[in-house]
Amino acid sequence: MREILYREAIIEALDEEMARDDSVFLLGEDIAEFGGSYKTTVGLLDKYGAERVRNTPISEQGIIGAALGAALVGMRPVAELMYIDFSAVAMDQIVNQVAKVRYMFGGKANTSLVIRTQGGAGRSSAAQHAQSLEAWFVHVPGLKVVMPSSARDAKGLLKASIRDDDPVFFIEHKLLYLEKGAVPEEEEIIPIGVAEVKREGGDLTIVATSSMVGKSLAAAEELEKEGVSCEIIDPRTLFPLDTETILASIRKTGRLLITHEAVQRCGWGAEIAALAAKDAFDYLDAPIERVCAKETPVPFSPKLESYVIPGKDDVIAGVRGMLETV
Amino acid sequence: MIRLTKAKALWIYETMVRIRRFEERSIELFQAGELPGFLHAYIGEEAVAAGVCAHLTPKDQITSTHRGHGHMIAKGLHYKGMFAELYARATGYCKGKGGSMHIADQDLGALGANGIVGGGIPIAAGAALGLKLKGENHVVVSFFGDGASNEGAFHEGINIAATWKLPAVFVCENNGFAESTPRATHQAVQDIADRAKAYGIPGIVVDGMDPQAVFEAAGEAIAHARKGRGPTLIEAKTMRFLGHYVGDPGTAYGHDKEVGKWLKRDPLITFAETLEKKKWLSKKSIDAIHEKVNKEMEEAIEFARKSPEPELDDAMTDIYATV
Amino acid sequence: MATPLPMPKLGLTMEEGTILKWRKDEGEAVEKGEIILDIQTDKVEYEVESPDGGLLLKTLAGEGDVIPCGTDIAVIGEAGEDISGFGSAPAKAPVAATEPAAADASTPPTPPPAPAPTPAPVAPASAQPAPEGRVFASPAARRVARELGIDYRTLKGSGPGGRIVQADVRAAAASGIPAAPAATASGPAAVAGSTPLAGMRKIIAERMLSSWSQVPRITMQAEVDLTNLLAVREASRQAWENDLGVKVSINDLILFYTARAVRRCPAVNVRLTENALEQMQDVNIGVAVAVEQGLMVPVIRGADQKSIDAISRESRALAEAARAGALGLDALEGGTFTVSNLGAYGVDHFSAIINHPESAILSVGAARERAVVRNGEVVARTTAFVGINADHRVVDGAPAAEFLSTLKEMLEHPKVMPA
Ligand SMILES: Cc1ncc(C[n+]2csc(CCOP(=O)(O)OP(=O)(O)O)c2C)c(N)n1
Ligand SMILES: [Mg+2]
Repeated sequence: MREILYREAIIEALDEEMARDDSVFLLGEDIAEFGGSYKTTVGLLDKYGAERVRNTPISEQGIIGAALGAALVGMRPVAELMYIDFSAVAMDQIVNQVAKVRYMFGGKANTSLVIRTQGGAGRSSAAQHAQSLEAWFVHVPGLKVVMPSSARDAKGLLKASIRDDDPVFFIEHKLLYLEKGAVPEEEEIIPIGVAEVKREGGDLTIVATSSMVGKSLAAAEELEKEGVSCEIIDPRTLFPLDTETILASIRKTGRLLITHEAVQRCGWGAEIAALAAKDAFDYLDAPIERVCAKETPVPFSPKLESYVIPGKDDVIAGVRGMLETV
Repeated sequence: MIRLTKAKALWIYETMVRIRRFEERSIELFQAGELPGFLHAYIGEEAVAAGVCAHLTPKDQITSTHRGHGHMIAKGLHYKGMFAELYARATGYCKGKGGSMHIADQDLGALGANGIVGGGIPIAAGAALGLKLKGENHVVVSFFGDGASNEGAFHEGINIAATWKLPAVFVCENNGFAESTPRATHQAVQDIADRAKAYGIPGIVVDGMDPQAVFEAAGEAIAHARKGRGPTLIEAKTMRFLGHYVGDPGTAYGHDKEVGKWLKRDPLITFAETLEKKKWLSKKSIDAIHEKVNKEMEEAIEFARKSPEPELDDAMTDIYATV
Repeated sequence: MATPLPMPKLGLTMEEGTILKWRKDEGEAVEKGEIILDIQTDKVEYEVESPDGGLLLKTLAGEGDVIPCGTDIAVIGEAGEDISGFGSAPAKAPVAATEPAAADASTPPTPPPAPAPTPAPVAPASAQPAPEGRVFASPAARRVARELGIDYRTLKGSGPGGRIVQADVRAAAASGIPAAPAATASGPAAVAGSTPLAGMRKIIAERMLSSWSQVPRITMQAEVDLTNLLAVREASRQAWENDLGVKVSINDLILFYTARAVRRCPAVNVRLTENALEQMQDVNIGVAVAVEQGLMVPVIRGADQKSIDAISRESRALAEAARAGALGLDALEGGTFTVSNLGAYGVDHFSAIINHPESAILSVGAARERAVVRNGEVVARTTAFVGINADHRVVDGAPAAEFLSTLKEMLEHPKVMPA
């Protein structure tokens, strides 16, 4: 299969969906001539014109509200928030409007829109440009939350998100944009709500999201040499959640480690831990472990940043701790 | 009207040189791979920071932006702490936790640069409120860009300051672009200063490439604020000479074509000429200023390079005051 | 304001409850909704939640006390509150020896009976093989131990901090380590563990003893040919699944026909009270379900009136609820005839003990292919041994036999396709 960059996979998904459906259009800061701060919309202005690839003012609340308004009258907007950190500026529209409109108005309103954004640390972007805030959105009923970890998932899931009739909060990762991965040439829609077993194993289940999937796969390679076999599950969609795939794996391995780049406290991993403790309680052979960011804002210093953000070695240490014998 | 004295003029010139050289050296160091993260250079806009801050005492406050080095230098922050911060050293102004976009020193009235566009504007209103409540006769200046004037925070912050007649001055550095977006495509008004009407405060357009013009306009606005008459919105028309961030060639969105005519109005050149004409400066004294600045700069860079990195444990401090 | 906690009334017929265990001590903090004690009715064990948050100021009855519903058994409130208004609950002594009434009028009035003494708990046997204190074993290890019949408390854990993990249990099972410690060479038989007789086990023990010792049984068995019934089930399976959405088991069919056979032979649907023979109006079939702590008999009411899919659904739901400990009292009341099926365990025939005050119980063995003689030839047919145990005081031999043959006939020639 051919290999393309994660960011190219995003462009392809947008391109194909815009070609397929005239109601799909893009809006966001610097997405037109500039092709987006992370070059995820390059070439689309030339192809679809300024009406459908719209540069916006720096008005995050306005962007999301405008996307919702357009959706209400039948369009399928894809709004880009340059950084997930800036979602905080648009929180009213996301949480009180986008997420609520369908329910509050009795189910008739059309809220088919996608909010694309990117998060994560690793580039010394410091406290306001490197957060992992996915749990905020998973916590809000009415939003679907997608977080792809590979080029293939990014493309297939973005296409599914654009076609979905619910608002989808689609979280990319700034460090993954330049990672290559196999993506089929032919059209592929990856359904929302389906996890993927990224690696099979028998000793321990690692549930990993976004950038932690790759780090976990690398950790698993090393652990394999020690005779430890890790199964790695990427939920890909944080909500709706494919609980069955996760639980089946836990029932098989008896051990669960959850890893994400967001801080541990009240992170999405807590939800997975609760799920396992309830629905796979009798299968747990060790306390549930979480490998997450330390509970601090992201520091600028690369040294501190890599200390705070979990890496491959943290996953390995977490696994070893769980398998440690007396 | 507040007249530009020789002392102030020389201070402004030297400050502009200090900013320019700091940015030039930072870019070199960044491109040499010595600095992590990313940089937004202030080159071209020096007249604004220098012309405004010439009026400020250390007790006056500023809020700044992602493009904030110039404001900080003009507000009196020293090179050492700034370079050390860019180098992510423990001796930096923010102990290596903030970086280029987040330099601050509250002791010197620099409340903070900001990575969130528009984020500083309501904070400035609040600082002005605090000073007013404390009965101190200081002012707060908020710097921000043309792009920031489209955030809700801009409208909300200025409206609050205007309504409560707070001692604040809002300085919009209109450099014609918000990242890659030309100003005319992100707002329909010609002059951002016109928006002042909507808040019932004075709005002034000033040539941001002319230090004297900036100095005079800012002087009036600051005096107005100190007298308790409320805020002013100053729009300084200016231009960044480089891309949005170091590494952005500016070619994708027409900045490279636009910048040419502005380069001719480089305030470091024009203001030097003006001052030379007034005999307040000579070639020799200009060289002396550059030499002094360079020396100070290289010392600061050495200081930063030799400074220790923060300890790992430092990552977990300063999160709370009391936890 | 202190809040009293009365003995709850958990079902229409519940009059009183026994306090099994206080989970909180006096003076301990409790949260609203937190479980503060376990009680026992004549049917179920029940966890009682605190009606309020605060301190458990006082318990008004002790473990083992039998308290009428509605009588206060504890007081919840804030520290220092005045609770003098709450006296101790008048417990009904389980076996209260009543003093003979005093004959002499001049003697002072007899003091009110003291609260029933708490029965001394059975002291745990000293030969406890499990280590002292809490044994750390993972939930998975506990589950596997349960499944393999291993006493995990005797194992050495290999997990962090010595925690017993699943692998330890499996290794123990594989190496043939006996579930219980090896038999001691001499002396009296060693006791491996001891559980105070309480709760469901206590009730079962009492019920079984009274049934066995008070009810003279008549026992009879018949071999029933289920071949046709199985064929009917096979033929209807698809339709049941598609149209009715149920998977009908053999036991469901047996329940179905038993109910109808009982309706046809009301002589087995009777009850002996102190001085009357009561003919029961409804056919309420009890289904014996083995649960972790013992045995429960939830009831399918009006079973003779119910369709096969209703029976199938209800029996499944009741069994699941029983195993999950989620049966309400009402589901356990009102049985008139019980069916006990041990076929799943491969048992051929057995004799079940009558679920007194019912008068008869059906025992059903395993359905399997057996050699039988048909028209002078030995052929393989699927048969099961089905038996009835009846209270011979009220059910004579002939009616019991008639019931059995009616049932046998129905099962062997399922004329009507059950629907
Ligand atoms: C809330 C928010 N939205 C978007 C950004 C990304 N961003 C950083 S600088 C910038 C352009 C700012 O334009 P302007 O205010 O004109 O300042 P300039 O860069 O021109 O100095 C943008 C979009 C941000 N940092 N914060
Ligand atoms: Mg600008």
